[in-house]
Amino acid sequence: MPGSNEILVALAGNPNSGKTSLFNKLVGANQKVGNWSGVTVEKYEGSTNHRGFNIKVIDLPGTYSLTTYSPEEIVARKFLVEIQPDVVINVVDSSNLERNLFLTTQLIDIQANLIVALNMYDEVEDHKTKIDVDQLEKLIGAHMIPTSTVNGLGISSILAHIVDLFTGAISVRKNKLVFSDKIETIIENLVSVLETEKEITSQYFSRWLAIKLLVNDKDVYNIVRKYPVWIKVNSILSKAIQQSKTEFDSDPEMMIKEERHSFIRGAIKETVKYAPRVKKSTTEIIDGILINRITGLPIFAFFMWAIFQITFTLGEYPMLWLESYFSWLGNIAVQFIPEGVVQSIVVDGIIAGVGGVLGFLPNIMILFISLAFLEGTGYMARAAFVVDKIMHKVGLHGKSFIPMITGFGCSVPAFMATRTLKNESDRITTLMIIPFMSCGAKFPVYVLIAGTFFDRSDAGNVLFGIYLLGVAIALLSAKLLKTAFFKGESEPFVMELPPYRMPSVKILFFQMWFKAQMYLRKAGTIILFASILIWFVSNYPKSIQITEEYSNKISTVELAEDFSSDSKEELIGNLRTEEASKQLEVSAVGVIGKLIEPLVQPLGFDWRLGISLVSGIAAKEIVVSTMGTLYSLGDSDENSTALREKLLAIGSYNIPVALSFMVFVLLYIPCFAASIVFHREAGKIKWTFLYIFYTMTVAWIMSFATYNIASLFL
Amino acid sequence: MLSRLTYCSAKTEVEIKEILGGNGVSENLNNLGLQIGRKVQIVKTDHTQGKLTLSLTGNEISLGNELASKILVETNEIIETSLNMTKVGDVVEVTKILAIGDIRFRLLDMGLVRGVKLNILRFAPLGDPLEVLINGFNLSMRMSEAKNIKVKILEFGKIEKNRKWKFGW
Repeated sequence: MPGSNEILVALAGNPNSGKTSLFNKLVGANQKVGNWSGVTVEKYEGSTNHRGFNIKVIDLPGTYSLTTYSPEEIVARKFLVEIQPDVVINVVDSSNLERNLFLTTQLIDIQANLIVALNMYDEVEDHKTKIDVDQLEKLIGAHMIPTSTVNGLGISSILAHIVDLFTGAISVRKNKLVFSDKIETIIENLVSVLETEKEITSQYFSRWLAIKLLVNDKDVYNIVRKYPVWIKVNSILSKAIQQSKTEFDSDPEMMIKEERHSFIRGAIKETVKYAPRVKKSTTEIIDGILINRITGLPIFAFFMWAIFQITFTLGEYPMLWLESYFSWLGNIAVQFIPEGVVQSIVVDGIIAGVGGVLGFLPNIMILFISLAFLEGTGYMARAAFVVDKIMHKVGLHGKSFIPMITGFGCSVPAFMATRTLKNESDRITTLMIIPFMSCGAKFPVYVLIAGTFFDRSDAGNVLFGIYLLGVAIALLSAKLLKTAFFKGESEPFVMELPPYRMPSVKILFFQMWFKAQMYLRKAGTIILFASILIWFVSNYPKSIQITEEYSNKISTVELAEDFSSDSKEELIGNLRTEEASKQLEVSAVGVIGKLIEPLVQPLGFDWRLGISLVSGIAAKEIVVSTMGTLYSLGDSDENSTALREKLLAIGSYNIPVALSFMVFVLLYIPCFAASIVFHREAGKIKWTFLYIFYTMTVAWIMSFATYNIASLFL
Repeated sequence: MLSRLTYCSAKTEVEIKEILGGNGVSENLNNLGLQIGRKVQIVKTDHTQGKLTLSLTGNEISLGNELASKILVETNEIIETSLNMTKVGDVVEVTKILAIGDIRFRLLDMGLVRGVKLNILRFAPLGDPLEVLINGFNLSMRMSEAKNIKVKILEFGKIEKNRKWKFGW
């Protein structure tokens, strides 16, 4: 506030106006990211110094206008109107003045201390367009400074202006957009009525309220409605609506917006000289290839495949590196900590837990930098454009596609990727169906089961069928959820396809780093806690009887004299595995598994399969190793012949059971880590409950159907 | 006024003024008796099946909408088309916005007001959504959203739909 040397600055502007780049140029690394309270919109704030003043900069979400119908617009509007920052910098894409200045005129309406940054000015110069900045300043009524984050133009000028505006060295240009006489008369009437209510005028500018009332702004309606003046206000509004219908076949909202646009157009006509367009722009040429009718879809499929490959194959290396680092840590711990509870909790609980959390990190980072790159270049909008028709058929949005595809690798980054969906109903629906896109951790289970019960050629087809089933259930669920919970609430597709630009690598890294930080801070801590909890329920309660029994058996073998040390080791190994299996049976996990046996019997499963499924709630990778333990086979993976033979040997396991088991694994609730991230992204506990209930129900029903139908035929 | 044949109503008489498209199309239509200067009667239109029936010199012929949309006619009717019925290459002016609710706000805020000029750039590979050039930037929207925008066609796009390997504009 004036008087101190702290200046609060807000950056407002259209998406794709280079606002983020300008923000980064102003604050550099001095920034942090959080959340605007109550919404899943990211809040970027930073600070810088200039001439002894401490300047705090808030980067508001990109908005096309201050009408409040999307979370971004609501956040931006609220901040500007209620917090009233000391200075507002309106970042404008100078090659796109007509659309960008629409927001500018609204900022002038709320009487912000405005500086307009005519950003991306380097592109204007490249196109040889000439802008008479002085005249434009006078006509629009705000300070204007050409800026470019590519060559640094205007940045120091912006800082200087911020300070000068704050200290009063320069004043805000008091120009207001004047509408036509008819509109101005109505505004005047509304203003005089509103000014009789002191409470309103002390908080808001009456002219702004009047304009907002005329454009049907829901929030402003709700504010004014609370006061007795509403009756008079409402009658003026109704009369205005009537008048404009009969006289102009229109309504006040339309008229005001039209006048705004023609005012802007007039100002631009006077001040901007465009060079004649000689050849096609780069964007047009690229779009001609990327989204034309023939190549559009294949190219899109290629990019999706590429992201997927990069994320999960490239991510393999750091993942493996991390895995080996953590098992090395585990070995060190085993060496230094004596055997017992502490060792177990450190190695199996903490180290395994932390390892699990960090294990997701490479994938998340690579995925997000790829997505940020696609978004920054402008291709993302094209991707949504190409695929929207299919998505919309099931009630989803073009932008749902990428989170869904990501789900084939892992649900955790997929859930996080749904942030691009602004509309809550689209986002929640997409979140709910991502689990059905069979994640990578389930793959070993399919390999084991399909490989055991089917011969080579069939196994491949069965696998493909499982994945296809997942996608089908996902799409059907989308339709179902949309009709049940979100009737008619789709986000409009009206969307800009911005010119292709090369995003700054620095900014990409910053954004990826922030996402990683968010993940570590919020999800990481809970997942770690959950891992310890899971360790606990898998190891306790322990049966002292069993411990003693096997302890004796092992000692007997150790002391026996007629065995070589090699065969002793083997025998002891087997005994240890048997012991582990029995202990697992009596642990909490095992007890639960046995308790639910009646529930899973109709699906063809016995208690061992039941326990394996329960363990899968912790992490899907564990299913196979748990099975290994339960069948007393020690370290097993999906290719282990011993495990396969054991499974085949059990009479009650047949093809219907195999199919039903795979279907259950495909559809039931994802791992704990994913569920925690789901809850964080969905925001409300009721969605999390629905998600648990829905996945379990669908899994049970489909599994039941599979088992029984398969039993009839096979 | 000049209009595409497919925008006209049944039971009206129109005069063929121009045929958009290459030589193949012209020949095709000429063989059916549809030449520039001819007057034809529109007997009935069938939007569900995508065709219309014409009457000329006593004969009735049925034409699919794809082909019929390439025929420009002069008619006394006042034609009001909606944005979703336009073709690539058309230059149009917005005459009315019928959308309500959130979509309306969005359209108006993006500059889609009465009187604004749009260039129809393309339709997505699956036919939906469509992309237009408005006030110097590219905007896309679903066909269902475009249906609520009434336009007047200022220039008809002469680009043939099945142009091979031309960077589709």
